Amino acid sequence: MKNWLNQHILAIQLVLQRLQTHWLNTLTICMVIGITVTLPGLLFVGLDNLQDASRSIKQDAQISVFLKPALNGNVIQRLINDIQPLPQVKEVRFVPKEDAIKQLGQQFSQKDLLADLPQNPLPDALFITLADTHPATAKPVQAQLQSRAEVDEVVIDSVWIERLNSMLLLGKRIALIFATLLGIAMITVISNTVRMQVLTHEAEIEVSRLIGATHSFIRRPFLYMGSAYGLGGGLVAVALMFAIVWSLKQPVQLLANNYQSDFQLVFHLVNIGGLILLSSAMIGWIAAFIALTQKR
Amino acid sequence: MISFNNVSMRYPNSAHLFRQVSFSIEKGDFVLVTGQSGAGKSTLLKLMAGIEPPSSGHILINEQDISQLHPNAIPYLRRRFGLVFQDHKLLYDRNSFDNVALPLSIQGITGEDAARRVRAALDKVGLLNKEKAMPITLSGGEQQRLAIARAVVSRPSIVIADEPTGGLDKTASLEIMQLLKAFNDVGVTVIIAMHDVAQVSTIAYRTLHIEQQTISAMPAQAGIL
Ligand SMILES: Nc1ncnc2c1ncn2[C@@H]1O[C@H](COP(=O)(O)OP(=O)(O)OP(=O)(O)O)[C@@H](O)[C@H]1O
Ligand SMILES: [Mg+2]
Repeated sequence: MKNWLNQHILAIQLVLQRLQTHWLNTLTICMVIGITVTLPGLLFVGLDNLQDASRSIKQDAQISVFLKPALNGNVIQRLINDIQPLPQVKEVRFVPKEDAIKQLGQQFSQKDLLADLPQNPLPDALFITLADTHPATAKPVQAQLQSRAEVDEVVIDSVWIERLNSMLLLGKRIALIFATLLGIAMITVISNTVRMQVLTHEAEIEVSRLIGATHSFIRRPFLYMGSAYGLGGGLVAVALMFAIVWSLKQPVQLLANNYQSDFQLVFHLVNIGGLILLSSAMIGWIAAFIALTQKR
Repeated sequence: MISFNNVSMRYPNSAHLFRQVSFSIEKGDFVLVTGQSGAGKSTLLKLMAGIEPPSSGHILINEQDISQLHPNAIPYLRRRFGLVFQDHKLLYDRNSFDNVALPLSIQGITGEDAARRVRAALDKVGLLNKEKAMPITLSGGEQQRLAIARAVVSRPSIVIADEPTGGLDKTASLEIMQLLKAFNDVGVTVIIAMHDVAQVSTIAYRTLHIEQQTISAMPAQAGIL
């Protein structure tokens, strides 16, 4: 156990030492990787911010629920009581069909609309204001309402938000494609570098193997090396993104103010930054793994 | 300790180096492997250390057939040997100390414990004052001794040295042989390939002579000179 830990500490020390010896090389690779990661990273941050913005849009999303005719007041009240406590629901307003026809009449400034009709054609309705505008918020409420016998029809008044969200989804997909392409570029760069390192340490590898080094002992430093390049590149990317977002913050705020919005550009350092560091270290490891597998 | 049972060896696309040879080496032996250049001395040593597989036959180390070993067990087999290569195989990008420390780090031995053993090994070969020196700055004999220090640092029970006196003058050769004999005196089995037996002085040794695809074992004898 102690030996096992020793082996890993030793490999890490070795890697750090090699990185330090060839610091200019290390820096160059980390910069290249960092810039490579920054581009799709910024796209993600932009989309993330747009999504935040779309959630906080002041206009509330609403669901209109048309009830079956001739429901008893108690039944309606029970339905309201069931919906009200849902976390996605901000407010429930009941509009009886008599009020609805009156409103309609006012809109058409025809006071005796009711008089011309044999009976009121409008149903009783509930208007539900949702907690936010995300489509995922509306869906479960809609489903629950549709399953109720008292409910005739459910209409979500947030088509444009869905449209925005599907555009965001498209944007994210595009960013993902970019990220994948650049990830492949990153793997190529790192695995090439690791392959060069394997070549320069060929003598050491040969001797080590001859005097009893295991396969994993020989591979370990190179795998750590790949991860280190990935991590280094990730750090550069996070720093760059942080700087870029910071420098855009003020202009974006000014722009938002012009539209009476309190929108703020944010960079979720822990979420996005952490994700970038983790995935770039992993990509580095994979790249090194590929380099070592091709070597044989 | 090491026994060969009907071992034949040929490299792909070339003639047999030896056919159906059998012999055994006992614990504490001091063995010289002799033969002309190209006879297969280095190859024989590589077979013993599991570096090359035989074309046929069985090689047993401590009663264990090494061809039956799982590939993952080969590194652990090699750790039982201290190997001195014909071309040294020293690492020229690090100093003497780090060269000798390599087998220990492979076995996960680091820090003070390792440093103590490295210095002990350097001391035994008379290079304690050169621990910081780069191998390239050492003389041929010193490099050879450094290679021996690396071979013995992990206290193997068998030391295999391929032409450890190659390219050295008589005095330096004698020093090397005496050094290896000193390890043999404390119980280490020593196997040395060399073409010029005249270098061995009063050391008692056995020979394994390779000639015409056979290996003839000769019993212990006192060295000439
Ligand atoms: N890896 C190899 N592949 C193919 N042939 C080889 C290989 N290694 C050695 N040989 C051949 O096997 C023969 C024996 O080589 P070996 O190195 O064992 O001889 P040797 O007795 O040690 O010679 P020397 O005294 O010159 O060191 C030589 O003809 C050599 O060319
Ligand atoms: Mg040889």
